[in-house]
Amino acid sequence: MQRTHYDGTRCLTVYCLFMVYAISLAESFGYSASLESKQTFDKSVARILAAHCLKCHNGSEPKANLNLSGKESLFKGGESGPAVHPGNPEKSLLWSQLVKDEMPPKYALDPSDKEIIRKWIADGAEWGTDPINPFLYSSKQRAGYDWWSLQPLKGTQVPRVEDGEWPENEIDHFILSELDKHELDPSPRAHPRTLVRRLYIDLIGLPPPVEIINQYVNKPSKEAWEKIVDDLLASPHYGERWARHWMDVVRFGETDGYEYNRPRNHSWHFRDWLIRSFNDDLPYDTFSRMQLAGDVISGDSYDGAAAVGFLVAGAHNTILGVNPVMKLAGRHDEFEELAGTIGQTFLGLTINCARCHDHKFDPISMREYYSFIATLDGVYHGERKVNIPKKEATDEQTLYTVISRKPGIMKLYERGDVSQPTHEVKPGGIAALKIPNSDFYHPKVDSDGERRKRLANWITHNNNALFQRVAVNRIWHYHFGKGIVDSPSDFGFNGGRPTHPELLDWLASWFRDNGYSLKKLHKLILLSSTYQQESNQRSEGLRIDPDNRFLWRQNPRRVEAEVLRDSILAISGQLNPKLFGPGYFDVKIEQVAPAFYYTPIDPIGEEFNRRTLYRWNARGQRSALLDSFDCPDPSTKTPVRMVTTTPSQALSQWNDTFILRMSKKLSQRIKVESGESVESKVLRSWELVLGRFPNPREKEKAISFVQKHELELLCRVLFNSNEFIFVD
Amino acid sequence: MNHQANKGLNRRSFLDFSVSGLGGAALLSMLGQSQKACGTQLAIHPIAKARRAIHICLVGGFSQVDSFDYKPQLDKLHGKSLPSEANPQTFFGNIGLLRKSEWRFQQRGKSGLWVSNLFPHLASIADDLTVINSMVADTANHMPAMFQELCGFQSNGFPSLGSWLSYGLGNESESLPTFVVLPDARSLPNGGASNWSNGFLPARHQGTLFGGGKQPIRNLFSNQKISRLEKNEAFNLLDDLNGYHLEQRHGNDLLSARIRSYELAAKMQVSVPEAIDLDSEPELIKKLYGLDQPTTSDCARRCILARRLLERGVRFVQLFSGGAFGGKPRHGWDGHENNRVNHQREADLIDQPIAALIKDLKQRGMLDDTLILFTSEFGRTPFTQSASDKLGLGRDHNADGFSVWMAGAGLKGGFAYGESDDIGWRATTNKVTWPDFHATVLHLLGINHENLSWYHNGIDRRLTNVHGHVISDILS
Repeated sequence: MQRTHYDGTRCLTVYCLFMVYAISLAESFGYSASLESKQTFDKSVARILAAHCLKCHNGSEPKANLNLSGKESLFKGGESGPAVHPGNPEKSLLWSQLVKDEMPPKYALDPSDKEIIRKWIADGAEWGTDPINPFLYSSKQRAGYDWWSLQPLKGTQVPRVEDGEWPENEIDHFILSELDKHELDPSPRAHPRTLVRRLYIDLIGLPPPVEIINQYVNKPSKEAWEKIVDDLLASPHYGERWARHWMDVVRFGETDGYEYNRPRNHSWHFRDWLIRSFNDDLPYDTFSRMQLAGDVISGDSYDGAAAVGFLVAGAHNTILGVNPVMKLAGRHDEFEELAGTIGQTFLGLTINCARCHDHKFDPISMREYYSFIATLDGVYHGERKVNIPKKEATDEQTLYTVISRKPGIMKLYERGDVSQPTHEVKPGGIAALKIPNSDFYHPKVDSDGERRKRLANWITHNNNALFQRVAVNRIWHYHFGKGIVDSPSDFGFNGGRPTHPELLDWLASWFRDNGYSLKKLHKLILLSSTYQQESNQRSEGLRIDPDNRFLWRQNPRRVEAEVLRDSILAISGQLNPKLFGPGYFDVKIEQVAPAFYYTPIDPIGEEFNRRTLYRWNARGQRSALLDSFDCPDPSTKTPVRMVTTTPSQALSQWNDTFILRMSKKLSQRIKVESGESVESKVLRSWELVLGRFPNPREKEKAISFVQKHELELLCRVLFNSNEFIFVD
Repeated sequence: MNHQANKGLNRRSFLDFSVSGLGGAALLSMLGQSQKACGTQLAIHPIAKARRAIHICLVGGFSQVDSFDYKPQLDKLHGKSLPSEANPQTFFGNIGLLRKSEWRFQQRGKSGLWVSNLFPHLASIADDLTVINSMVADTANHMPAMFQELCGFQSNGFPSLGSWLSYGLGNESESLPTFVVLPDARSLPNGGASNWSNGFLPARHQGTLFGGGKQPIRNLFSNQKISRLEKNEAFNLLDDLNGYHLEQRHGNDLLSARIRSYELAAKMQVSVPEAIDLDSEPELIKKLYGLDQPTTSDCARRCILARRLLERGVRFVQLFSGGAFGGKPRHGWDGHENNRVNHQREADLIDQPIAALIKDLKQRGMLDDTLILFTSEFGRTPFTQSASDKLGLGRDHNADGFSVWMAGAGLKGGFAYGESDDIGWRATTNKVTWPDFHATVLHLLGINHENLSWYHNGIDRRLTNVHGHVISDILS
């Protein structure tokens, strides 16, 4: 792998040498003075104008009516007259503005850049490529084509660090070399008990059984660790846990939203498809392609129809009135939402921001936005019946999925306003990604399915470094509570910068070369010493790197709402492990006229004791318990869950009827499983809830408590304890 | 280099309580102060005129030409067609004949503000109202329009005005929520909690729905009785366990915050029942609001409650007039069928209580630093919703011109701003958009709308998107 990249670099060098030779050869024939100055212009003057001036002085309504992007408009000038007098910097407004530091408005240009402009004017202001593409270069205000995340993967060598013991695999070398630079030491390996709990919560979202903890605590070998990792990756609960993460990212909801907020009773097929795909370790590129065009590439199979549930998992306004403008506006609001979801999920790009104007921060033009949504022009929300082949006969299922129609003619709308159509735009991708074939439209082979298939192939192209970086960073985020880039769905100018760019690129290539296998990627991360560090604070770490950007420890984390509820069910012995199928409803559904209302309830019964990801997800329905633990409304894409601490959270966790009921169930379980003595009940309750025995202080307090009060009250206390809801 | 993301990160990792008295995280970052430095309550920005607000939301679209936008020309054109060049964008597309108002308009108070007889009680406090007769919305479709009115954007998933204020201003009370929602007794508005959603802001900023009964907030109390002794000892044990746990982790802010959240929860269990107990209100007050009358009692209860909550440190109360757009009869102002009957019924429910609220706030000196907002997602057409040659009874949605009002802190009272055309259909002079309206509300509460932002998926999001101008002409 790395050699390939090395060769690539070498080829580039050879090519450059050749070009230099070719240019000098041309020069010797005396006809290319202008070619040279054109190239100089493109590399120097155009770079400066693009980076510092074109944000305002470009487009149809440039500031001061001065457009500096094109030869003609620059020499014509704006409100104050021509910007440049060739040969005479002193008479040129462009120069006088720069030299007086009046422009750019917020900072002064570097002296060397000023000199380039001065000399260029003095030498006659020869122009180069016309017009200047404002996206070519990054600046202090925006990203250009040279933005870090848009570059091909760097074939990074794994740094070798002198620390015989600590590093387990390549990840650790990258981490350690960065820690070395900041004079930080990694933290020691966490206690085996801590590790097992961390691993269980991370991979399957359920607490480890006491026996597994004890087994590993007694013999914490590398082999034993690897075995637990393998076992959990093979567990069907793994898919449930990671499907839930994905549902956050792709705003999976089961009502329409908006005025009627109608229920969608057949959306769960998408959720089931996610669980199966994670469990089957469907390669991530296929996984992505299926969600964009599964109905096309898998021959309209049940799987394909379920997978494209992705495209219709968002809100959908069914009430648009009779007015054609209002209808079209509604349709375009949906395009914007969809372009945003696809861009952010797979590419970390906020493509949606280019609907009304060129993207203000990333190199995406308005035309590209409309090209992008043109690929989705045939996508409609709806239900349809699909056959599922079974051994004996076929079974028919209704799915809420994409209804594919013939795409229409996509126009670019001035300011994003559907009452201002301009020219027609063909479907296509985004040039900034530098993937071959971003112009993938073929007029002769054109249909909704064909467009989406081409889009899917373009996004998942093997050269799409952004796609690969975003994928590995997302997985990393869930294992460390923070990504290498801390904005997992935004790798643009407004997003975070990688703390470990080389590691990110190395992981991305590794992932691609290992067949986009998520399970292999998990394993690589989980076997690293970096992952297995203690999470305790250390004073020198806090002093040098308080945010733990360089991972001198593992990040302690509060469990998510779903993990909290699932753990309580599991510990109380009430978890119904049934996989798949229609969800359970923890709402009362009411209708006023055609509109639907969902009132949260706490229904009792085995069918409701399933894992929380099977909860039917209405928009605008709030559950007191889950909400207070930051479970997001499915109207919003949530690449990073928030962690808030509030009194209402304390009230919910203390008073919610679910907690009371489960405390009782747990106390019943303990009474059955433990001895008669208060002490043995206390020991068992600690073992079940916290995975350990109480220390002497705790034991003493708890025993005297249970001597006076019901056991279920102790269970309620334990379910409320910090240790229970935090993972070290 | 990493400024944008770090900004978001700091905000996210900032330990914030819904009732912590820590002051507004947003405000601190706007003032450039270290968020960690603040342990005490922060005063509101000095430019703030208002410290708190009540937002009365009329659901369904209430009619400007029948209430605050007097159009004598409409009386004259009663039964006539619209000029032929007009091309109205209504919801149902039936453009009937022009219809005059059923209610008589009169100039009121010292200011001479026009208010119709639809709101006789509000008319009596006209000198306190600042009416805007030139509102425009981006859509005449209920739910997107209402989302825009309440959350700044037309789709599900954006933080509401109250959530932004909660984020921007923080809380004055340790033991009450920052942002309380008081729905109409008939039903919740369509979209439910999406209307007071925190969107992508932290969960603590979402509106807390106060229902009726002894337990207005879910999970305030447990339905399982335990003695005071049991509860105290359980909390002591919990404290001990959490204490040991914290010790072994060498101090951790998040863990300490959670320990403290239980103390605050206990305080809430005392404060909330006290705040909702209207029995302690004098009879005179109950009468003033109309708590004793069946028609007005629901709104009166909520108006008194709103005042009591504000008195106790709640920042923002959202009070709905109307619930579902539908219903038979409709639960709101959506007068498609018979606008006269509809609007009279709805106005009767709220006119007296809302006027009383303003009088009451005024007599307590609270109107000086409290803002009252009275808005609807759009207005109604001056022509009827009927065949083009028919004079129907209903009015359709009208987003091109409608009326709202504000009252209280920092505003010119008895003042009408902006104008619509002769028939009250389209705003013509000094148009006010929702971003303008929101920018003005934030301004009155001491916040520059351009600075109140939250990084989310690539953008520093604002309530006012990339728009909004403060309407300085209405400020006192």
